[in-house]
Amino acid sequence: MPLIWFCAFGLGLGSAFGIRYGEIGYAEFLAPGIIAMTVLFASTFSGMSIIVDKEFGILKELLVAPISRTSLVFGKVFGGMATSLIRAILITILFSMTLKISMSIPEYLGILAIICLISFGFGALAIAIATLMESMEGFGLIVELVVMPIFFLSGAFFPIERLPEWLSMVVALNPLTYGVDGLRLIMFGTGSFSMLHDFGMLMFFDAVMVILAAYLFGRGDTT
Amino acid sequence: MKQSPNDMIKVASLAKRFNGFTAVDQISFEVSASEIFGFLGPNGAGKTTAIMMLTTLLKASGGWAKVCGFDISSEMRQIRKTIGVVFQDHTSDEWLTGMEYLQLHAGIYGVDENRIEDILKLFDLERWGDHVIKEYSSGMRRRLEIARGLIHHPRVLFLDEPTLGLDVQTRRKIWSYIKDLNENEGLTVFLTTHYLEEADELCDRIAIIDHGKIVAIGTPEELKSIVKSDHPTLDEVFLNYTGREMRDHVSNSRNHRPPRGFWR
Repeated sequence: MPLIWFCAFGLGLGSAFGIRYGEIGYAEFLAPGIIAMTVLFASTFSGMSIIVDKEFGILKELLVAPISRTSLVFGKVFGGMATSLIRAILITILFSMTLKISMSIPEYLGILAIICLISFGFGALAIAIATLMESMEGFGLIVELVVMPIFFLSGAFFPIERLPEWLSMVVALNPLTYGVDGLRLIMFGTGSFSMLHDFGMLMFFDAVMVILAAYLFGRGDTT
Repeated sequence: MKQSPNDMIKVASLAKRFNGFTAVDQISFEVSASEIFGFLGPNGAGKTTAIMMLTTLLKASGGWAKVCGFDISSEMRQIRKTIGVVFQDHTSDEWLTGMEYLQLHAGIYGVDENRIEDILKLFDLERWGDHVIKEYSSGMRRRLEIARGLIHHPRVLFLDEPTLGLDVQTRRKIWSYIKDLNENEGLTVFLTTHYLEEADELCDRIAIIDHGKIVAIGTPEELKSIVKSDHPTLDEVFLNYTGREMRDHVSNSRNHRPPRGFWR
């Protein structure tokens, strides 16, 4: 799936219109966005799978066991992080081979760190949404209303400098923007924000989301 | 009602309301140690809601209850450690093998791995440990889930409709497991059922529950003696108390979704 996106847009659109972004071509520009997309999808799907656990009752067994609600949230988030990492690492290796990007070990570690941060925050967001949902029926709606806009309005497809003002506001509020930007900074040395800014925003987002998820999931635990 | 040190479960005026609908209406009873206590009632009488409150999955709207001496609204962690719960619907993850399923729960409760072999043997499932639960029959799956509920040597076992939808042979087999555990290990059992013969066969005492209220409570013999008939059966007692109308308005048990706010 991410590869289809990459071929269709990165190679197809890029070469058809001859789009370039500074030093790099459109395929290169798009690559970090595709990695971020992979992580976004893997982590939200994993978080939302709590709805399935709820429907099949698996969750009930865990809820009567003497383990804290917060540890269940963290378990789910880290589970999603594991799948995200596997997929994203494969894609990253593929990109660095086909696009001939040479990166040092610290740079690869930086990419892993950003993947983890994206996965953690969106995994927690998905759990927060899933606890509010009763059944699987709303799942597709959430993907269309939340996940896809987050992906499209993240600077994965287009540089965010020349957008109309209202749109750039939306993009700036989107945490994935900073994930994509951070990846692009590491891979190609070009981005819209500083590395510190990207990491700071992602960590802030992660902290807010995990508190929200733990609160919603553990609601009523203390009374 | 006097407080006895032997009470494993003590419930006083416990109530649960969902948006104006009263599912459990001020019930009070106690269950003593090593007793098999049954909640008998038609579908939608409030049996599952009561069990959800006692097992700390649902917050009570009124009254109080203690399980193994711990308060259900403040000492949830202690209760969760000391009880075993088997739910009405199958709750095992069908993609795990029986062994993996029990290992997961042994890990959660910090139970020794040897216990898994023992408990599989106890429920005659030792040959099936390596099969995925998907391949199990409904009765085997139920046995595995009861085994899971017992893995950490709970003091009270809660069973919500343990033999729903099982054939007569399996049902009798499960009754014998429960009876053996009760006799050999002194396990306290709290079960719900709408099968009269199950209540009659298994339970030391029965509470008949309808529209969220306990309408009668006593040993099966006591309850039968109330009905004036030559050969009293629990059937007659049951119909005497709950009426002969069918219950179409209540939610069916097959599609039993946890009610809103079931998180705790």
